[in-house]
Amino acid sequence: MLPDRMKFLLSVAMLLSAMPLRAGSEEAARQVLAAKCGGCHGAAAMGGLRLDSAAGFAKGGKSGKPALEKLLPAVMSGAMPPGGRLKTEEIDALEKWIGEGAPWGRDGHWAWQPIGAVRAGDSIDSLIDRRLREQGIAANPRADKRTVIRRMFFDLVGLPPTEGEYALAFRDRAEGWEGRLADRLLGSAHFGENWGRHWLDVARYGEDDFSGTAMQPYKNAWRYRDWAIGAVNANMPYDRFLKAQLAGDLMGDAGLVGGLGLTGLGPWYYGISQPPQARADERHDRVDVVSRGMLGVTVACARCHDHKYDPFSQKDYYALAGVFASSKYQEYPLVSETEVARWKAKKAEVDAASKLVDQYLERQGELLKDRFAREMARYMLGTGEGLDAEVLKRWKEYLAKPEEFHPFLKAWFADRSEGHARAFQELMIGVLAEKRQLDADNRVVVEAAMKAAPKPVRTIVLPGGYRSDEDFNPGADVPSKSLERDRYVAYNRTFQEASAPLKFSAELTVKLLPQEARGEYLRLKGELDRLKTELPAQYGYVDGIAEFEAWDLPLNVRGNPEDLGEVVPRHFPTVLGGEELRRGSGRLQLAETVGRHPLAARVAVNRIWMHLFGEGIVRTPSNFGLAGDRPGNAELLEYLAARFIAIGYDVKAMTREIVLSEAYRRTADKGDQENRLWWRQNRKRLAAEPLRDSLLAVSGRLDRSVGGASGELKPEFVRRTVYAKVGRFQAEETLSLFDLPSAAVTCEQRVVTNVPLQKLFFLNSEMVAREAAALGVLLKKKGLERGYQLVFQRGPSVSEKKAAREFLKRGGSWVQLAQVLMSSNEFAYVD
Amino acid sequence: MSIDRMPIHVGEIATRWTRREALARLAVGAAVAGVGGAATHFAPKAKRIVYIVLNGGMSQVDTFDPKPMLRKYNGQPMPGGAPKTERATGTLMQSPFAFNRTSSCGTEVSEIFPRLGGLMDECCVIRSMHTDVPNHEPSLFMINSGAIQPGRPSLGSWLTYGLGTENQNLPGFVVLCPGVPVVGPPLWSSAFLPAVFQGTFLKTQKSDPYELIQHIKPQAEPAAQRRQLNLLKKLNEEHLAARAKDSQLEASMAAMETAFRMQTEAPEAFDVRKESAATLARYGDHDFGRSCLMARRLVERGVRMVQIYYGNSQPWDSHEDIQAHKHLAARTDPGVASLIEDLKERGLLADTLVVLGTEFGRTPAVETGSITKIHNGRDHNSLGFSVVLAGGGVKGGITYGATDDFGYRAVEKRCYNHDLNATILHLMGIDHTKLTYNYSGRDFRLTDVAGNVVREILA
Repeated sequence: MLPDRMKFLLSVAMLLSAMPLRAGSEEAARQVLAAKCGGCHGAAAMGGLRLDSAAGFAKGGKSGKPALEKLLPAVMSGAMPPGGRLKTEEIDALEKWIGEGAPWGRDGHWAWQPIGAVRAGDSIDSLIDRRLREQGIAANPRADKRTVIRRMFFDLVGLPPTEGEYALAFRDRAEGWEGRLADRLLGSAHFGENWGRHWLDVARYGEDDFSGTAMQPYKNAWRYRDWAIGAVNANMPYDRFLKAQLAGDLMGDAGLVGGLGLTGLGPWYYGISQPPQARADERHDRVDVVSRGMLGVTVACARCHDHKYDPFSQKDYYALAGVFASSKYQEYPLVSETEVARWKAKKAEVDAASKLVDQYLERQGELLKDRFAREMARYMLGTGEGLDAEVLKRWKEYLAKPEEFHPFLKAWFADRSEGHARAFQELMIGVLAEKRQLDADNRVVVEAAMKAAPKPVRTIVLPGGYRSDEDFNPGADVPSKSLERDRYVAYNRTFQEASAPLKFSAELTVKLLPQEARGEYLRLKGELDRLKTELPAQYGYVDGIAEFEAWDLPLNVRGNPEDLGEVVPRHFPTVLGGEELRRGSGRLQLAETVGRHPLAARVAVNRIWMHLFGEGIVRTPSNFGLAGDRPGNAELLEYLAARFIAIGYDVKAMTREIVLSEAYRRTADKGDQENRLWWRQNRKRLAAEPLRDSLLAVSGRLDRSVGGASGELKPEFVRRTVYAKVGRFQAEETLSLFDLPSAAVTCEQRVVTNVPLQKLFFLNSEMVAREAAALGVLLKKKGLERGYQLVFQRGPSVSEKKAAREFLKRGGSWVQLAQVLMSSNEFAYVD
Repeated sequence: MSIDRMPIHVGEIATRWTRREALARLAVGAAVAGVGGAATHFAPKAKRIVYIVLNGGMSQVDTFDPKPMLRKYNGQPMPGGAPKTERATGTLMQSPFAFNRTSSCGTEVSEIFPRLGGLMDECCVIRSMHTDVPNHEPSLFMINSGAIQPGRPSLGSWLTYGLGTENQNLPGFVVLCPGVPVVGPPLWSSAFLPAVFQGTFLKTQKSDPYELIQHIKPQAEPAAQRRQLNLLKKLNEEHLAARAKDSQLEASMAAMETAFRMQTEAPEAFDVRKESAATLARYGDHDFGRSCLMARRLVERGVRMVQIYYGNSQPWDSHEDIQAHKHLAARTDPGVASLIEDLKERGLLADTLVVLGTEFGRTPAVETGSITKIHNGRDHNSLGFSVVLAGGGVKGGITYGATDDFGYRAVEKRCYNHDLNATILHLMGIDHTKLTYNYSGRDFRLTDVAGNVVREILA
């Protein structure tokens, strides 16, 4: 291995030589090669030729000539590709690339290189200003103090300043007020709420799974959300933050287990597909969240074939997936083992008692069937003494319309005689007996088959106690006997379906219990109730993962988990270092490697920048590969990454440095120029959470308490939005309307949409109505001047005052005025 | 790849959703321009879709794929052995229903779809559909999003992303179901496409449009609201004047005016109570019939795609008793037939595609596997099933492809789910290989890396 210093020198050389050259021509050519040639001359290597690597080009095909010599003639003559001649611009792209010496920079790509030390004299502003000077771009002036204060509040804590907070900052006229404000905001617990939520986008944080109603939501999920918020507030070094989320159970610090929610909370696919597919999809998600979320590389693209652009092989993918195949879901209780055991024992007692009650009622229900079957004719005729009203009602409904499902009542409908009723009664008593006999026989067959079935290779237990074997529906394919069709339908209609006259639900059974059974039932039920009241609420736990049998995965041919290729030893992607990951599951090694990887630092600082400027230096924040964006100002990104490492992955210090730069404080006024070199700030629309939080903040109803279980976003829920439930099965409607990302996959960057449905929220939603009502009261009480201060941290202009006065005079109310302010652009867009 | 990835573009496009605007806009924001450069890749035959999902799995041999051989071999094992499906199956079971030719084209349809059977001159039945997994969830994902796992955008999301909508006062992609089908919301998710393209889901148990659509009921008198909007406009204009030109601020102002108009237009569109009692009766005055009627009202007003799930959970899943299909079809037939008739009468069938689909078919052999059940039903079958298409540039009066003698497996002119989706996109004027979205490092598309347009069925 090269000493780090040498690596650095090398990398600078590569950066300088490779970057400007490769931008453009290589990518354009590579896209043509991948799209038009890769089908045959990729892994398939038709004619022995591969056009997806530098080595493939050098080796050439069967002719033995280097591919570069033959490429242009082949495509220009139309001999290749066979599917149809390339377009002129595609040929041009290849020609241009060859003309430039056919650079193949996969391995020299900037993002794979190590990060050097910070160069003396460099700073955010010096690096930005130099590029602006070179390009002859004039920077915007510094924004006024109010704008900067508001910007810092929204960017750092995601809330507008209160009157007091604003006054404190605004009246601080001494040099360095920005630093003092930054310190206050970075030290606030609300900073963690806002920035913890940024991370939760990457972590595809959700509190349930796609199976939705079929499974219980993860009731402890919020503990991971709070862990993330707490880690940000405690300023946990970023490398440790990442590491804990992958291997918090292996770091000797119980407090770090909370980070395991990253994968412990899924997504788990349960039985959505057959087990091999579902488990492979789960591992895929983990590979994706680690590689894109933490490292900004798209290793997940290599599931079915080698990566089309980046040097990630399919083996790299399975090498990484193996780490997660060697880990399993695990609950980490937050109380002592004794307490867990005690609770579980009590729970087992409740379950057992509950089962006794169920079984007892089921037996009694069968007896009721017998009893009422013997009285069927009486009920059908509806005559006689002592008929049960409920059962009689059901019979009446059953017989109200001609039976179209089975033929056995034909005679009865033709002539509702006692004889026909009796005949039906006798028939059904026979059907009931036959059904019971068949069920008993089938049970024997199925149990035997289950016993004889091969044991599953691996059994996985997912949240909620869901067990998954490699087998699918064991027992389902055992042939069983059944009633003949018409007899079954008659049975179903009479004894089984919910509305059947002789279907005795637990509730109905209790009602109809004979005297001699009542005592026993009450005893069992009493015991169950007693045990239930003695069962305390379940202890809290963290949904995490733990070590499992180590398993090197076989490569899945074309991504098919049932078509297995060679076994791939677990390791880190080769181009990123290729470290072995074979101690235990390999998770701890993975965590260590990820945490200190240069890409992790680059991705982190780019995201911090993105949240402060509305856009990253690299505009594909989860893809730093060849198909991703290149940094608009590469030196700036490298500087920030180097600084970040030098200051020990200190997120707050990094954030502070950026916020205090001149660049951050510029006005957001747009011009014709693009803003890739940061000559101005970007105007940002508030995201779903700060938008809702701001409505509550200005109405004075926001509950600012920090942490705790999640709540439904109902009108009475006035906590910050980060504490609202997050569904994967069903996203919260209002938040999705304002672009809350799907919790199904790691989110690269929020999109900002601007649609009429969002405006309907401001016009007609219960929430805006409620907050406007509260703000309206404040406005009326305090007057327009104070009201504007409260909402916008400024007084109204002369014309605004005039407009408002006019509005009120013409019949508008203070509440309606409040609603207008809340719906305004100034409210939603932060300069 | 000098693509300006400012997310703002999404907003600008989304606000100006009309087709004409999209033309200009899509050319600018290549990052989100599905159909970069032009509104469509070629002249569309269909402008809108009603996609009806008979969820649970409609049996082909009892509906649109008659198999006389089943009658001959009824009660006998399938010659050559039956392919494995999910549960144990026994001998072949003939359809209890007769098949009739009541349209001049001669396409045979089961007696349980009497009215639709008479409309076969308008319809193309694809009898050679097949998919990957004989299980509801993955197959529902497959027909909707072209993948068996969750996390990919649905057909309706792709369409509205690529084409926008013709009526910006209404959602572009509407999903109707009385309650919730199996899987639920992930089926109409926009996944990694902007959330604005996700389906607007309405539970049609309710018929008051104000209860159907979020935030649509005006909370103030029109005059009072107008007064508020006038003030808002004044404040926003002053705010804008103090800043350099910024299209996102202007777009936000325009969106508010549109929202104001939506309050009157949208409820009217969704209100089936405005139809006559006779019309309602013709469609069937129940959840499904009303959904079909609502779909007609919506596509008449330019909604891009309306998807109807027949019912909650998976009603067509007739494991126990195939006779259940009779009752299901009795509710389905009037709605679908009336929809096709009405669209035709209004001259809309020519450019409205009606799809009557399902996630997979059922086995021609009787299901015997599960205990406590009657042996008169059919198991899931991903190897062969039928889909009916009408209007929207599809040739009427034809059938396409075939299953084997027993209706088990598609054997002739096989049509994969991706082929169907490629064809649907083609009818809408989109080259399915070019409607892409770059996400997670690669270009995604509805048809993944597969799909061939079924050209033979194009009119």
